[in-house]
Amino acid sequence: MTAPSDAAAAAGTVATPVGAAKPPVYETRALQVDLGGQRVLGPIDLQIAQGTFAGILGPNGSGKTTFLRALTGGVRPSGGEIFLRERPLREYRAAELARIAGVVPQQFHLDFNFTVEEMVAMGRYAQGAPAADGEAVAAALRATGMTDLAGRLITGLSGGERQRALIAQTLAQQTPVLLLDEPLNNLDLNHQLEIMQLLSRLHGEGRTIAVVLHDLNIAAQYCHELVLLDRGRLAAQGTPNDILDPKTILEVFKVRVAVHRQGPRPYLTPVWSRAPEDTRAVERRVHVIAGGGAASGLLEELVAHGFAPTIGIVSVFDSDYAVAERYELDVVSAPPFEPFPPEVVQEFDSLADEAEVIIVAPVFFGRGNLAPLRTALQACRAGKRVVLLTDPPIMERDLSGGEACALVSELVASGAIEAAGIAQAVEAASATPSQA
Amino acid sequence: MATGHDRRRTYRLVMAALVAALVAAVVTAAVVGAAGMSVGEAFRAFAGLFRGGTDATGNFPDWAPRLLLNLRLPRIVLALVVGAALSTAGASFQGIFRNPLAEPYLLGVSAGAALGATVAIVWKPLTSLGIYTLPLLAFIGAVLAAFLVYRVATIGGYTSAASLLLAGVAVGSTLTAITSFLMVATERDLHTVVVWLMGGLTTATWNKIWITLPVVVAGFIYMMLMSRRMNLLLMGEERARELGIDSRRTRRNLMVVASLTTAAAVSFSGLIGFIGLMVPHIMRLIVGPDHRRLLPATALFGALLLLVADTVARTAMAPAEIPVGIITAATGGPFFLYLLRARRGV
Repeated sequence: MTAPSDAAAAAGTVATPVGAAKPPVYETRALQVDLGGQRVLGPIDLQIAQGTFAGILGPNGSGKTTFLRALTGGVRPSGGEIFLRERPLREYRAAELARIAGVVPQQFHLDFNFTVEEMVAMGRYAQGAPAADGEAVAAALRATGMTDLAGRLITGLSGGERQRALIAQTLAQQTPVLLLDEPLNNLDLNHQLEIMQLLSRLHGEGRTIAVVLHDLNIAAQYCHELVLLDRGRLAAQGTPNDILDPKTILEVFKVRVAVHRQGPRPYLTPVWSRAPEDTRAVERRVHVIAGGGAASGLLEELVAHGFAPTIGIVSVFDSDYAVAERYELDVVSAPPFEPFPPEVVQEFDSLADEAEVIIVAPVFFGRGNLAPLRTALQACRAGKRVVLLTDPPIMERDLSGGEACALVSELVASGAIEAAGIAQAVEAASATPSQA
Repeated sequence: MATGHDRRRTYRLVMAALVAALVAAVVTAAVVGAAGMSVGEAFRAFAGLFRGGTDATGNFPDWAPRLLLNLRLPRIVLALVVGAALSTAGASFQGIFRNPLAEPYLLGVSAGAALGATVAIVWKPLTSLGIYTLPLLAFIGAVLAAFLVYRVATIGGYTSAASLLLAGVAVGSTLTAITSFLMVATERDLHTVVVWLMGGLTTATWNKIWITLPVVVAGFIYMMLMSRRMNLLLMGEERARELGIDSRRTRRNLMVVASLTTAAAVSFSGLIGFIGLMVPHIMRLIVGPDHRRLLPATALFGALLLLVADTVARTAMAPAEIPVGIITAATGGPFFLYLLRARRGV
């Protein structure tokens, strides 16, 4: 905090990224915040670029709100420095700040009987342009859909209406920068999307926006950049496509998710995990012989139980392939409509070799895709645990003229475990070797 | 529903009504009293004052103009000034602390003034300083108490409203205990102290007004200049800062000014309760919480209310006087309870 300003200026010239088109709006250098003697944030080095639409994400207690309040000046850093437009934040007067950055705080109390319009007009205090006040207030009311409630008393509003009035108050400031702390609190889905669309529009008009959000999907959908905080530290920063992968989400949020990348923006669905507390299942390597969508349900169930199975051999058009991609599982893939090429079979063999358990999904077998079945038989004879899904029976799935049937009978003879359904298969895969 | 437009109209109506009521109250207060002349005589004498003094027609006793000028008018003006001071200070305290129950009493300011006044009464060597000893010491007591409370409640540069009110109550109780001890220890002056504590405008003089008025007027001007800031402070220090004011400094300055205003009033009038609590409360219900309208309306209504109360105090049991603090408390307390029951929330 007491670093000589010329030293800070020197550091500034060093830290400015080469070739950056515009200087960042905010920059934190080794930012630390202690609250009540506890380190809650930092050290964090971060830049918020001009014109960005940044979502700040992280689990509860990760320091999102503290970070935002540090940017607003609401909490003082206990170490490091924050720069706003390349000038230390602490040098700004409150009125100057209020003309640059509008804030939507998480907590807001006003127990006095102001009308909505009077409350929104308070946002104009520091703008010093009385002639523009009326239009600014009217525009803010319009943008938040509060025009009809302008004459209502604040104390008589619902939680959602209050939240929108608060956002309107901040919009009335007409600042180039907006900092919002969970602005979707208390809002129903309709109004959540309205506010996010409003922010998108404001961003399109050239404003810089940093918003703390809880909902990863809303963040992925609207934000151009995500800042992921974990236990007071910066875990990741980048575009939604870069940041939102199952591994990072599992590390930070301790939740398994599937990432769907069909559209331009990633979409997450949680895996409603029933995995046991210990992580044994995750460490056990399981390989699934899949294809034709026969393994999709099994794969979902395995992931839900904490496995990260490898998959193959499937064609890239296969719906099993899509499932594998959604959960970012390792998959051996082959070109469609032709027998598996030898190098692909080799790749599959090595994965099968590394696996502790091989599960054979109820795939339709023709002459082109028998290779995995042969590998499984060899592995089974060598003592590896192989689980066969038997519904529908192999006779109905044999398009290879009896070869597949023969291989399956040999597998059973060699000690492969037969499972009537997905649940039994998962159970067989989960059992410890001594039980098997 | 109270829209902004309705509120502006209500405000204009209320201000007009208050001004009219004030004029009527001043005239009434001037012509009623225990001086032994009829209301008619007093009214003619009062009207005569505006025409330049005595009247040879004998429509009123020739001592009447002097009585009006030196006794009744100073008392009327002091009532107006003290009433306005207590109520605007109350409105400011309530705004600063976002608490409609804040008022000079709760913040220890009045207890400080009381202790100063008691010291002035019981410690004879001080009396040699003349008639201003008591108000001066009351003033010093009030200001010192306010600063003591503020210092106690400020931890690491931050003053929370809760700790301030708690500190106010604690400091107030301690000072009141000292005052009580002084009263008991010097029984001789017990009556004088008790009468002062009960509050009264009996000893009003123009000199006292010339001391009090500038402080109260300056305080009011400052509060009006800060009225938009006070509105922002109602949303809390952090939100007010986000919208562009230096919340801590604004709060501290307003607190100093409100304390000075209170001290200026209390030092000459003793402890007159409930005006500072009740008047802003009632006005907030009528003209809304915006301080730009609340403060002027509060000043006028506070002035009116104390003048009416004082007029009742000196005429109800004439020629004996009831301390005006008893009147304000006796009517204010029940009325306040009624308000609490009738309208939950502020």
